[in-house]
This record gives sequence, C-alpha cells and structure tokens, in this order.
Amino acid sequence: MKHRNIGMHKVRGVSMKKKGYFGVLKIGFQVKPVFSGIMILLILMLALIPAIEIYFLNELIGMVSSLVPYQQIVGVLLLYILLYYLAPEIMESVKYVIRLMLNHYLDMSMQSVIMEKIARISLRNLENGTLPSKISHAFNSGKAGLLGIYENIVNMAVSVVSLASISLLYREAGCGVILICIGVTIWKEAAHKKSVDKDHIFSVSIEELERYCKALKAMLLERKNAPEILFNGVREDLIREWGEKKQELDALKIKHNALKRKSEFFIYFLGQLRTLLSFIFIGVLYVGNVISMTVMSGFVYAVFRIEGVCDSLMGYYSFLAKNRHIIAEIEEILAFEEESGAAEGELTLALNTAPAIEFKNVSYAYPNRVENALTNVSFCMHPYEKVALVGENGSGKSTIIRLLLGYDVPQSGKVLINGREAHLCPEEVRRNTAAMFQDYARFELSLKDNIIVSRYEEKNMGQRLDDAIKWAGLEEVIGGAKDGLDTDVVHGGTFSGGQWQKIAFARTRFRGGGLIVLDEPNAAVDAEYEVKMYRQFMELFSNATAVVVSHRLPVCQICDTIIYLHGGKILEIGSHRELLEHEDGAYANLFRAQAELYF
Amino acid sequence: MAANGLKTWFRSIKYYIQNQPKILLYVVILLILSFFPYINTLLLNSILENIEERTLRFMAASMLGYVVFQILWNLIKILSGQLLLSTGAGIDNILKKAVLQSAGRAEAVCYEDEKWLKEYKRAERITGCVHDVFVSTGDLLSQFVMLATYLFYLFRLISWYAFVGALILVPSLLQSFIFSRQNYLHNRDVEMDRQRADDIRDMFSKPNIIREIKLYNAASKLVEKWKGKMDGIFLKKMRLEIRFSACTALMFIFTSGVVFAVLFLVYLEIQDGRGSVGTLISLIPFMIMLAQSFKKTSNHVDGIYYSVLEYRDVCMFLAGNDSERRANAQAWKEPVSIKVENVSFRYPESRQSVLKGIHFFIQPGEAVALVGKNGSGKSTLLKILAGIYAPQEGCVRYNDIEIGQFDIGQVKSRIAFSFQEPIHYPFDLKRNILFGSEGKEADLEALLEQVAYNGPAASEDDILISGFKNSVNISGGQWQKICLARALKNRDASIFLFDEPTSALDPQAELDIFNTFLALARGKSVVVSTHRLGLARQADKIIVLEQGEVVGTGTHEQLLQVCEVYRNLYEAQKHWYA
Repeated sequence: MKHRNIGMHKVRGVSMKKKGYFGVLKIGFQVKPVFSGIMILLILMLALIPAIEIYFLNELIGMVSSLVPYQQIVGVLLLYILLYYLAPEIMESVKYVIRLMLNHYLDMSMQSVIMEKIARISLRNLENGTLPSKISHAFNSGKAGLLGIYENIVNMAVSVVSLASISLLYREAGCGVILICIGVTIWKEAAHKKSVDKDHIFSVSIEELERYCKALKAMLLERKNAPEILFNGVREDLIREWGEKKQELDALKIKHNALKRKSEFFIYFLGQLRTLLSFIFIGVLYVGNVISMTVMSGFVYAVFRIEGVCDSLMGYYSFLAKNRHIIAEIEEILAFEEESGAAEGELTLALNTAPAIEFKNVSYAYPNRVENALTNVSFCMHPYEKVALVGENGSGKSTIIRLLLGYDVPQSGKVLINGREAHLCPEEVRRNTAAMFQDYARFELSLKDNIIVSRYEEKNMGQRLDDAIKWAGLEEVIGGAKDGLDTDVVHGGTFSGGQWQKIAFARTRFRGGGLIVLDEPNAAVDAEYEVKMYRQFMELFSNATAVVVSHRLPVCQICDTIIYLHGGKILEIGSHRELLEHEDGAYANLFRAQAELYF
Repeated sequence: MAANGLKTWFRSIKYYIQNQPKILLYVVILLILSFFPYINTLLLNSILENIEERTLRFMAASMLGYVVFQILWNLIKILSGQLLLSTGAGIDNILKKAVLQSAGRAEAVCYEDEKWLKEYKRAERITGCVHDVFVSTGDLLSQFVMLATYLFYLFRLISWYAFVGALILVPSLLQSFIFSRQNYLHNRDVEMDRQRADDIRDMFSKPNIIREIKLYNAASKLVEKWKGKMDGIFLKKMRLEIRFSACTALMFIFTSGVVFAVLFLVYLEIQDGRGSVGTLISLIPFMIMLAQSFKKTSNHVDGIYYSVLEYRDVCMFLAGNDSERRANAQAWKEPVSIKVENVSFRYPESRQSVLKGIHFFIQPGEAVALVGKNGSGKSTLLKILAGIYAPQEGCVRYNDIEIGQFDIGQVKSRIAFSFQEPIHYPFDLKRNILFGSEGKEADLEALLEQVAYNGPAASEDDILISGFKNSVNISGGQWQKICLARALKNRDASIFLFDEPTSALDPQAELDIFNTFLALARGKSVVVSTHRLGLARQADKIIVLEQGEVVGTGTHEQLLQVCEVYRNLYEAQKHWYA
C-alpha cells in the first residue's frame, strides 16, 4: 500500500529543506530578524576581541619599555581594560538577554511545527514504534540543540574572521602558531568524532529507560492513583521498583560518562601537546631573531588566545556534528508520511449530509499483533440508517469505528464512505462526523473548551453551547464546579467518570454532523441519565447516519439494524425484531438474558 | 532570616555527608585543586620573568613542566567529576525516595487537595537542590582559596593595594543575594503556568487525545493556547532578566574602575623604580582574571542561596506528612458485620458535603447493591468503607470495632477492592494483576478464567501502557477485568467492595461476573455499586443514595413499595426491555 511521501514541507512559510542547518538559520531570521541581526553583530564584535587584545598588550609592553609620556600609557591601559574587560562583559550581558529571546521564539517555532505535524501523521505510527520516543526526544532536546546550532554556525564563521585578523597582525609568528594549532586541533576533532558516534547509540537506550522510570514515578504522583496505591499497600513496592530501575539508569549514565571522559582525556592531552609545540615554535623564532623579545613575551599569552579560538572553532563544529542527529530526527519527524490531505477533486461529502457506508470484505490486524481484529467483514448502510454494533469485548467493534473514520487502512478490502475510501479522504469524513469514543479525550483546558474544542468562530456559538449543556444535563456539574464553565481540567481529573461522560456527550451534541459515531456512550452513566440518553439518541440521529457500539442492549431497539460481531466476524445481522425470531440466535439469547433480570 | 538560611544550608550539607560519605573525598580533592591556578600562574611567570637571564634549556624545562602540570590537573578534575556524578545521582535518589515515602504517610484525601498535590509534585521535582547546594558550596570554597592565593600574590607584588581589589566583592555579593531570591520567587510563581503549558503539549503524545484532535481539527487552536501560555511565562522572565542585566552592567563599570585604579597604582610604582615591566604585563590579565573570579564567586553564592531556598521547601513538605494512624492491633474475627454510623464526608476543596449522615448496617455474608446517580457519593462511600478516607463525622465499624483500631496490614488483607478507574502499571499482564502480593499463592490462569479475560495474551516482555517499543494495546473492558482479577486474587478477604465493576463489560461477561459476586457472598460480605438495576435486584439488600443521603434501604420488593426514587429508576430501565 503506497502512501504519498511528502519531501519538502511548507509550514507557515518556513521550509525545512534537507540542508537542515541553514533551515534553522532561516527560521531565526524569519521569526525575529532584528534580534537575530543584533546577535550576529555582537558575536562578530566579541570575536574581534582576541586580536584587539593581543595588539594592545603589545602596544603597552612597547610603551612601557620605551620613554613615552605616562598620559598615553594611561590612555592605552584604560582603553585596554575597556575593550578587553568592560565592553565584552556588557556585550555578553546583552547577548545573554537576546539569546533568551531567540531561544524562546526558536523553540516555540520548532515545537509548534512539530505539534501541528503530529496532528497530520496517521494514528498507527503514533501508537507504537520508534516515532513516539523520537517526538519526546525532539520536544526535550530541541531547546538546547536548536539555539546552540544557531549560535554555533555564526560563531564558526566569526572565529575564522578572528583567526584571520590575528594572522594579518603577526604574519609569520601568527600564521605559524595558527597552523600548528589548527593541525593539532583537527587531529583532536577526529578523535572526538569517533566518540560522538558511539555516544549517540548509548543515549538512545538511556532515553527509553528514562521514560520508563518516569512512567513508574508518575504512578506515585498522580492524584487518581492514590486511593488504590494506599489501599493495596504497594507504595513501598513501587518506590523500590523505581529505585532499582533508577539505579540501573544511573549506572548506565555514569558508564556512558566515563567512556566520554576517557576519550576527552586523550583529546586534552593532544591539546597540551599543541601548546608545547607552539611554545617551541615561538622559541625557535626568537632564537632565529625573527621576532623581538617583547613580541615573544606577548605571544606566550597570544598562544592561549589562539588556542582558545581554534578550540572554539572546532567545538562549534563538533557541537553541530553531535547535534546533527537532533536535526536529523526533527527532519525525520517532519518528513513522516501524513494521512492523505485535502481531497483531490470535488468535495462529495458536504457538511451535514448523511453518508452511505459500505464495508467490502474488510480484514484488519493491529500493528504488532498477529491475529486479525476483523476478518472479511462486509455490510452496507444507507444514508440515515442507524446501526448498532454488538458483541463481546475484543470482537472488533471499536476496530470498525477506527477504520470508518479513516484512522487506519484495512489490510484487505475497502471501507467506503459515499463511494470513496475513508483513509483517502479522512479530513472530509471527520469534518462531517461527531464521534464519542470509549476512551474520550479529557483536554487539559477549561470545561468550556472541553465542550467546544475548536469551533469558536461558529455562528450562534453561545446558543449552541447552552443547548448542548441543557441537552447533556450538565447544569448540575457546572454548578458544582469550582469556577463553573471556566474550571480548569488538571491531569484529566476534576470531574467523576460519569460527569465526564456527560461532558463528552455535550461535546458530541455541540459538534453535530451527518455521521454520528458513538462508542460505548453510556457505560458509566446512572440509570436515570441512561434512559434520558436513549431519547436523546433518537434526536441526535434524526438527520444522520449513525453507528453505535453499546453493551446496553436497549440501544438496539432505537437502531434500524444490529450487527453482532464475534471474533472479528459478523455472526448475525438484521433488525431487532428479526434477530429476536432466530432460534437460539446469539443476539436473541443475550437480549433475553438481560431482559430476564427485570421480569 | 539569614540565620535560618544558614541553618538550612548547614542541614543540607549534613544530609549529604551523612548519606553519601564519599563526597568528603571530593572536598579534599577540590581544596587541593583550588591551589592549582596559583601554581599555574607561578609556572607561567617563571617562564616570562627575567627572560634575558634565563637559558633556553631552563625555558624548555619550564614549558615542559607547565604542560605536564596541566595534564595532571585535568586528570584530577576528570576523576573528581566522575565521583561527583555518582554521589549526585545517589543523593538525589535518596531524597526523592524520602519525598515519595513521605507522601505515603499522608492521608489519601490529601491528594484531592490541589495545594498539597502541587507542593508534593514540586518537592519531588526539586530534590536536586541538595547536590546543587553542595557543589556550589564546594565551588565557592575553592573560589575563596583561589581568591586568597591571588590576593596573596598581589600583596607580595604591590602590598596593600591588593585590598583595593577586594572592594569589588561587596556589591557583587549583594546583587547576587537579591537576584537569586527574586529568581526563586519568580520560578515558584510561573511553575503552575509552566506545568499547564507542558500539559497541553503532552496531549500531543497521547494517541487517544490525538485521535480527537484530528477529529476536531483542533491542532492549531491548541498550539495557539500553548503559545499564549509560553509567551506569558517568557515575558515575566524577561522583565526579571533585563533588570538583572542592568544591575550587572553597573557592576561591571564599577569593577573596571577598580581594576584600572590598581593597575595605575602599580604603574606609578614602576615609575618610582619599584617593579619591572614583566610585573605589569603579568598583572593586567591577572587583575581581569581576579575580577572575573569575583563574578564567579557571586554566581556561586547566588546558586547556594537559591538551592537552599528550595531545600527549605522540601524539608517543609517532609515535615508536614506525619500522620501515622495509631493502631491498637485489634484482632479481626470472622464473620464480619459492617456498621456505618452517621458518616459525613467532604473533600478538601469542595463547598458541599459528598455524604451526609449515612447510616446503615450490613450483615456478614450479605450481597449489597449500592445504587444512585452519578455524583451521589457511591465511590466515596466505598472508599470510606475500605478505610481509604476517614469521615469528618461518624465512623465505620467492623464487628463493632472502629476501622481505625485495626492494624493497617490486617485491614488490607481482609478487604478486597476493585476500583472504578484502575491503575495501569507499566508492567506485563501477570504483574499488573499480581503486583503487591507476589509472595502469596495465586493461580493466574484460574483468575483470568474467572473474569473471562480475552484480551491479547501478553508475554512477559510486553508492557500494557502505550509509548514504548513493546507496548500492547488493552481496551477499557479488559482493564476492568484485570482490576477485578486484582480484587479476586485476595482469597482470604472477608469483605469485597466493587466500584462499578462492569460498566465496560459486554452483557454476557456482566452477567457472569455478577453471578460470581453472588457466589462470593456465601460467607463473605460483598458490596457492589452499579447502575444496572436488573442486576441489583438480585442482591440481598439495596441501598439507594441520592445527593449524599440514603433514601432507601431494603430488598428490591420492599423498595418498589416504599422508595419512589428507586421505583422510577427501575421502571424506566425495565421499559427498554419490554
């Protein structure tokens, strides 16, 4: 099954081409051009400091040795301190503030691009596999990586300018020392690069263990787990379990760190070798009378300056190399195949029209599972028809809904909505659908947002909201909530299971649509409300095609057709009356067993 | 306030040393290392001073010596760094465990209190503060030693002018105190906002929420909300940072003035013939290094102060959770009757009571159904019966003995509870059911059969929560069966409490489970809360709750006669099966 692969993406006018690094720079300028410019200017000025410092130091030495009026020396001294200490420190402060700003906006840009991308990737890839960990990695490492990359690209260019200025000032001595430094520095980097690649593999396995530890710890921090943990007395066990895994993680991290340190030590040794060679070179130049004594003594400090710049240069480069995997990961996420986008051709599924549905020989297995969730399922639904899906847990009911809304593709067969395959036009199908899932979402927003979700620009929004609240019986819930409609939902809590189901129900009502899908809508509601719900279903269904999954068999009486599923296959299909007439029919037996409780 | 700060600082240092004695080795190494910069400067100057008089051989030897010294220094730094890493991880884990355990000593009802929960999560998050205090203190100590050596060197060179340099220290220390406190307050302030922003972003890592985000095309709206929150936090931070930067700039100007003054004085000395050119040359970067060293000192003080404030918060949390229930270790005798006497209960932050004056009696071996609307208090009542929450008024008695009088261990082994929203442990199927009672005998196969579990037959490597390489997807109904298995594995229990155990189960499974409950009730007490009135009908006693009060108790037939609420509910449900 081929899916359209989207290579380059234009998201909000920011394009991430394959040359990731320059893409990052571009984002910076597009997001905050003025500040990016100031920052680059500051970095440039700061980079010229080493050259200026050496120059002034030598001037000073010359002046002190010869007979120059002391006002001039004082002037030079003052200028030296100003240029070498005060100006850089103030520039660093300004740079720090700008850095914070750039970091914030870059970070937000990148994270929001990733979030919007996630909403377009197909569900199957988000549920398991390597993508979830890559996403969490990208969220967490983006901050350090992105701004660092941004700065380092600029810093690298500017360091080269710095070195060039020194070599211009000091010709043979300068060039010689620079060459020695660069030579050994490159050697250092080669050694460093090897360790970096090994590093990355290590960090991936550490990351999975870290998330596992976090999940374990989360058990002990969540409010809704507290009663069960307290009651079962498993707190100590969980803490111990977490402690053991954490120790494992820490040992791994320390080992990882030790390996890094070993290679770092060798690199450091090379650095010292470089210093020695530079000193010898200067000594040779002095003995050969190429440079004077004052230049030589100034140059001892110059060596450190030059080494510093070379190290920074290579440091920037290796930072970029090390973090190329962050860029690579972000690129991978952004290049991931999405669900089919807007429809090609005309819109055949206008809003609020009830569609016809057909399942043609559909077979489907969940990723990572061997057995089929659905095997050769076929049925037809006319527009405005209401169908109830009945069967044991695991018989395939939720799977049918998953495929119906285009969240995944069947391995064989077709799921057709008004004649078009659902997974090829999922946005169209969903725009016209109001769905309530068994594990409905509890958004970390206000109660109002949990009902409306996203359609704030709708006409008559207020009226529709009031209608949905009354319809779902939420007045009491709102009355009892701390801030009414504006109550914040924290970590899915705040309301009871039954209250949540009413909220989810209101959400469905507010949405409306030509296709209504309800997956266990009344599992947790009380008897009084359940009965009210049946009346409301009829209202909700009146202008729509509807699919309902429920264990509460009275729902079947409201529907036109009942599909009884067992083990992923259709066992019985027909209306309530028809199925009741089956001798020893599965549905008939089930219905009677439930009904007998009351009679 | 300063005295308290010092006390807290001292406590945190003591805590670290007591729990990770290896750290003392680090202190020793650190003190030794603090002298190295001084030695470094000496070595460097020996290369430069009196160059004209030295032989080349001597210079070469000095250079070699210098390089070897650098390598040695680096090696020691690396080793001490490793030591610090392992002790840091160790102390962090110890303190985190202490926080997690301390939360276990608090009442379960504290978790419903937003403020307490917030403090708990914060305390758990900032446990790194102990390590930070120690490291910053160590750095400060070595910085002081370095400063002392610098000042000594300066003193040897230019006598009492050296103390002019010390002037720089005072304002920078002051500034760091003020700023770190403001930083601390700011971080506390925006913590809630940051948490909410993270919550919104984390919605994008949960597949079931993404599914609905796709449905409602809500991605851009959510991103907008997230951005709004992040921007808010950022603006607050920026205001603080700009103020701090302005102060720092003034500091730098002042420092430059002092450095210039010292250097000028030295120059005057040279003019008078006391000192050489080399001295001035080596002094210039040295003074600047000194000024930067003062800055580092103030940074370290900043770090210490901030971490000490955090440690104080952790200690306050730990001290606040010492409500051990005193048990008189009463003996638990079979069979058990349950008496609920005038129980009233209110959650910490709510305005109204969830339960008011609840009063009923359950005989041993009775199967009791608890019915009522959503929010009528059924779950809360069950938790009070299990001793998880303590009622503000009234009490629960088992065989006329108040539940608080029993040993907690006894209570837990005699009562089995199935929760409405069970915990999803990140373990495999077997551990998810048997976790917490690994020592006891339990036949997993039989349990799975008893609850008719028909989910994926997860192997030992599979994890039942999503987001990992070997995750397995488990539906709501299957989780409910797992939760039932957790309750049923407790064979010795005399009381079984089930909180809406069948809401996600298919009709057949529901019927079977309910029959299991009825079978259990022979000799044991079973209380089930349910909305399925057809099932409740078969119980020995039905208790009807309405808005936190008992409005009816009795058998099905009795209630049909006497309780209007019950009758209406039952008839309405029955109507749909006609």
